[in-house]
Amino acid sequence: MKTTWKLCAMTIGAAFLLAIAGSAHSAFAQSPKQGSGQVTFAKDVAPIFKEHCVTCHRFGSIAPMSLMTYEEARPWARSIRAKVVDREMPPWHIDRNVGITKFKDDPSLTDSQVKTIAKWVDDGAPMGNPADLPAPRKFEDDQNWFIGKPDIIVKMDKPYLLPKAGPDNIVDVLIDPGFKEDMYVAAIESKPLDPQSFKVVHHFTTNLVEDPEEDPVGLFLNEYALGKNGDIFPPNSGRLIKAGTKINFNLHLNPRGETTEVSVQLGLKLLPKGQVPKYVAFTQHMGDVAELDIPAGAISRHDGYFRLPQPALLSSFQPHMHNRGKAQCMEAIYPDVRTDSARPGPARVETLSCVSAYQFGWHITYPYADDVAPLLPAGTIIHITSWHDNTAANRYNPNPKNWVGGGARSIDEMSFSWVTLTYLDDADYQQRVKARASQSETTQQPQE
Amino acid sequence: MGTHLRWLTSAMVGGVLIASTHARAEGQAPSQAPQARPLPTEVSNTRFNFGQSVVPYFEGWIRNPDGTFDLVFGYFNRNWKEELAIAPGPSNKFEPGNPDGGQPTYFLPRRQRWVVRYRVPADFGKNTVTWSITANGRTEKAYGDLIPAEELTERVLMTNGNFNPGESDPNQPPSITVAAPQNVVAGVPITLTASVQDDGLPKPRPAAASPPPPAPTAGGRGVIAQVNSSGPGRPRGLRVTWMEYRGPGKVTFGASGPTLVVNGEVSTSATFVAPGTYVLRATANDGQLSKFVDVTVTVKAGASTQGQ
Repeated sequence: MKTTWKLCAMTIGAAFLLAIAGSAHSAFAQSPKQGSGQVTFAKDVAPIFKEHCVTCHRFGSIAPMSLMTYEEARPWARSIRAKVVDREMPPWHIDRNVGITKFKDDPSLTDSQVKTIAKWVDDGAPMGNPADLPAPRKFEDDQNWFIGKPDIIVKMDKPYLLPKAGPDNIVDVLIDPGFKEDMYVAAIESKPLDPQSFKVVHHFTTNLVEDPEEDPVGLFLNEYALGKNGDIFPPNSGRLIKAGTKINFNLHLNPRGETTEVSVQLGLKLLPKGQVPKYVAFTQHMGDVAELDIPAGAISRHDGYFRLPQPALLSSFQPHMHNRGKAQCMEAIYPDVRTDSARPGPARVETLSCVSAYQFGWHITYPYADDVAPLLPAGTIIHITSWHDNTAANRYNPNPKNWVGGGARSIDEMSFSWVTLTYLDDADYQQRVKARASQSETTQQPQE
Repeated sequence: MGTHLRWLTSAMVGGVLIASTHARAEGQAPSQAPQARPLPTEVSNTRFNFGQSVVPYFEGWIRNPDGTFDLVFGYFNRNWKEELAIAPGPSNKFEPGNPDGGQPTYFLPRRQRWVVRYRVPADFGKNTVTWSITANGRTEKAYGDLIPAEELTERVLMTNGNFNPGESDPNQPPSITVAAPQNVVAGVPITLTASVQDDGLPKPRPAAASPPPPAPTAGGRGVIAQVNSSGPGRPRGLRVTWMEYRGPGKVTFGASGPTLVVNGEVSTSATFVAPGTYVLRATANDGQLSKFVDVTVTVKAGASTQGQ
């Protein structure tokens, strides 16, 4: 796999991992088995950890424990097994049995890799021959970015001091990064600056503010939420940031029992100077439900819709719900283009993606691979279906006794998808449809 | 998955799609849907106008300076049109204690947030207060207690739960007063006038023009992405909204929706359908923060309502 594992363990998942691991240590007191067919850390497991886990699971990163060495990983063996077998780690919760399954920067493990880790633990988690260990992975600070090394990083001038207790805090922080010239952005990622900030940031948005007096809100740029990675725009797409533009961070913070200095940052990867992309890429809500109606003690479903006014290329999908979020699917309802159809309604419905085991602690953006990214005609309706679990069986539910509706607070709910897209002109859309068809024919030809 | 399908999937989807289907010209590529006229990007779900229940719900709690707490409730009338008058009593009650906790007795359609504050003592501890409403044959309940995660501040209420602007923002909410009208007769319109003062923040601004349609070319303003839907809109100036909070029947206001305050005042007409005691709520909003005042109106029977 060419991609690197750059998602980071977050508060909820990490705390759960710790809880399991605490009881696991003594269970592995026996000696590892020996044998030529044995799965060992050095030969089999360390390469998997190196590729998929240690970006976060290393000292100084966000995960609660390091998995860089055998000595560090061994005490956590049983909990590692449980998490990878349940597909909770690495955090990539897209349903692999539904819709599109090919993504950019997919950090998840193959079935074979999961089996390898499970067998390693079942066999006593042996070290094996140290000579088999892969070379340790080396990190630089800027490798913590999902989008790759940013060309520009915008940070807050000073941390915001969050009280140790009380209700959610909302803070606006306007930064002048001193942009001297117009530029086009090819990828965006925003995230807390340090581990203590990760713990208290529910989410934050970034806006481009070109004129604070006339338009203090500005233009939405992107959003970070617990566990989210970044937005990588498709080829020949970008977002214009004009010279002099300021960045507004709108922070939504949850006090967690200790006074916290909170800092966040925005990373921008730019298109080469002078290159003007043909298309605007942007991220927006789809499928919002204006008034959620989530009864107490029940699992409920809501449906939201968004009609594409022009042909469009969708480049990523990210479900957004709160603590009661259970699952979310995105499907395309294609327009019926036949004049002889007596049947009213859509011509075809296609499920694009589902996250069937949603976790509020992970707001993961799933970026479609370029050759399978949904290419949709004008008039297509994007249908977002969201399920919320407002029962006591949901361990993250803060109050299963009560009805809950929509709202910005963590204890309220939401149901929409962040979708990154580019609108296409008709000619380009038709050209891309033909190219896809040609590509499909090529791949379906029998191999000699 | 044991899912309860509480909402019907939109029956409108197919109907809306017909309009775009019929606009296609012969010979056009089948993969392209022509657009005879721009269609809205939003598509509605099925809506129920009548016959649904009213759900009281718990918003959270506020710590008062004297050590007491206010439990804050709202309600969600599932009907899109039906308004219900439900007097305090078996069908609209707080428990334990006096069933009349000052809650609404007139329920407007859809969700009304932060409508009633129910004060409990400093030693309330882990007790619970219940508000129940029976409407259209179904009883719904809200349970108010002091769960830490549901602590509120006055700022949260003033921003309608959007938080913006935060505590550190210099903007202060407006103040509002309404003189109680006298000699009100059912069926006869009266004029209500609210006096409103504000600090001028945020800076008032005229309504913006509609955003341009999406353009397939690069540019910061060619396509404007939606902001977080729970976020506040852009400030537009000081306005007042009127609502019926309690009453035995409908009140019809002349002003529909927020009305601009001019020279510190704003007026509307109000007509009461039946005699009785009403509580009207006037809410002043500066575009970010709001404050309300309740005014009690005693309405006598008029010639057209004698015997009601």
